[in-house]
Amino acid sequence: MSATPPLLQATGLSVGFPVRGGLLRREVARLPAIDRVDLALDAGEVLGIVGESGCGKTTLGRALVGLVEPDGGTLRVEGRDVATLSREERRALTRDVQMVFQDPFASLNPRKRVRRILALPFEAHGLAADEARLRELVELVGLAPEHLDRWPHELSGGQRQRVGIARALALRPRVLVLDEPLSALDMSIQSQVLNLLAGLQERLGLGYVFISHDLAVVEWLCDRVAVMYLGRVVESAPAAALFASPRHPYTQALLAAIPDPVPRRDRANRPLEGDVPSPLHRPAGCAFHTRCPLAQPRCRESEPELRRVGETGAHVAACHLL
Amino acid sequence: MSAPPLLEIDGLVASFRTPRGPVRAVDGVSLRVERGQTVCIAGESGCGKSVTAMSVMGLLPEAARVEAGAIRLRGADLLALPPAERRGLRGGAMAMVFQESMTALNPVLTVGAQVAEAFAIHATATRREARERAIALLRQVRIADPERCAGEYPHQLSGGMKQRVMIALALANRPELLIADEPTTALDVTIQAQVLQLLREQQRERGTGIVFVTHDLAVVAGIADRVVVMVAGRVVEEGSVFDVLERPAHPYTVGLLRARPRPGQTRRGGARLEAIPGAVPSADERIEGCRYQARCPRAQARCRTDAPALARVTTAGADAGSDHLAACHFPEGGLS
Repeated sequence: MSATPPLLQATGLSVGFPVRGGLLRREVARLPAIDRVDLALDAGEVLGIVGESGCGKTTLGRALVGLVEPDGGTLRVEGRDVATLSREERRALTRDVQMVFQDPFASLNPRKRVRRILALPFEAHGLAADEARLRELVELVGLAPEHLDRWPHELSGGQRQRVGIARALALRPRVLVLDEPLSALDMSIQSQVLNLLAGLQERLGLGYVFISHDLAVVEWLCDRVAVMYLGRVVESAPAAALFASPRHPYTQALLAAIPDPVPRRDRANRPLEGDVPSPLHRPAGCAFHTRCPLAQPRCRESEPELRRVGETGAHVAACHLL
Repeated sequence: MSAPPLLEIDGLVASFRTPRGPVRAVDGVSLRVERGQTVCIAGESGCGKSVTAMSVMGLLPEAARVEAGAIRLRGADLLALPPAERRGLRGGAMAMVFQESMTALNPVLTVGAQVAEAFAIHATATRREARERAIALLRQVRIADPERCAGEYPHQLSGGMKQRVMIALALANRPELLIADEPTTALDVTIQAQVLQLLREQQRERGTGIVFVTHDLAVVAGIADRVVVMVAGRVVEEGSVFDVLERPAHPYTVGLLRARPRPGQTRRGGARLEAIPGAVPSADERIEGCRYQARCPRAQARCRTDAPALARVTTAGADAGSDHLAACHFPEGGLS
């Protein structure tokens, strides 16, 4: 008997978007948003996905909840390949993986009261939303039963994001994919929502895929972190190992760029130069070589694979120089 | 008498017309900026930080107006100037860098044409000279291939490149004062670090005074000389970047700094962040007494009736003679 399969597992997952051109708007190229991504999430585990804009972290999140179709690779939920399932089986399985979106202003229907917003997931799955469960949901996220009768515009940003979290929790999922759930919120509200997410994860034993550009928050919340660059995972490690000893030059540059909350007399630093290249013109070899301070000739020629770099197999990085 | 400061805002009150009556977005803000100095205005949404910056530039939206106070550039009151003269200052003696570089740049003009235009309006430059100077300026803001960039349109540039072009546009006429409203908020951290470095370099070379508006205290730490913290239209704390971030006196500043996870901090063992309770006050709430009292862990009866004025505070470790002010009846360290 083998060990329990991961709750959520992507193997060689790729997603591309069509680039259209010409008179007939035909697909002239394919923009690879994520490219052969492997990742696994165990029950109750919190995995952070970090990287700069355009690295594919949002597309990865959307692929994990089935909002975009992969071009290749497999996605398994509780060990079952999603692509081989019937529609009904798929629907049942996707109840277990729910999403919290970035913008609580855009992700709630302004023409529905909170009660309706929270009842919709039940109806979508042919279930009845009873009042007791709706009350339980709002209380779970720190709102009061009277908030059920409010319109989204009557709520603050923090309260709206709480509604977004309650909606994701409605069907008792086992995994939440959270795409930048704090970045539209004021600083003083972010820590409230972060505390809420931490408490829910611990109380309900949830698994999180936590997509964020905010590395201090990722370090605080996550058990494990995957760093993405131009659609690929370049390093993955337990959070403590990644922040204490980042191995990939990109991870090192990313951590060095976190603004230091302590003011200094001498502010000279050497930020990473240049911009992330367009995924349409992905550099040959290691995609990071155009910005890497350590790049060697072979980095331009062959693409490094993820391999073990730490004391345990849990720390992997894709760099020729390690 | 000493020379007047580069910028002096004195008792600024600005309000918006709304269907429910006027709303004061800025309520008695005073600050000053010296040559070569960066003053950060920090605060959360609706605190009045951007309205303050826009008032200085004379770029308030239609529904807003300055009701009271003075804004002086080298001692000359900008609010008393005729509109044409005020317009002449924008892009000349004072210039602005916006957050949204995509909407602030003209999408149908090449980058080179836009930068050259900035020269042409304020100086008597020929087209050829203006183009050459535009390319030189793009090089100064560290654009790798300035000749090529000058021929491109804004949509062809990355976010970081667009923000560099905006900075080049703002610096074109060697302004004495630069107003930057969240100029790095839309950028990734590695690009943010590049842009902050660029602003520091340009300031060192040119002696520009900068008003830098941000919600991010870590960015403040990286760029400010002095910091002004605002809540609901009022300044609650002001001081050197070291005083405000290392020895904060106002409970709001203290709370904001504690709420962020620090490097190395995790939730392991059930630890939680010290979040500030409650919601960010909206500008149209009428609050008696201190604007922060509803969220403040130190609030007493007096805070609910009696609005504290900015007053000098003493905090342990402060440099002698440092000008550290807080608007609080019970500041950290006490009033001096």
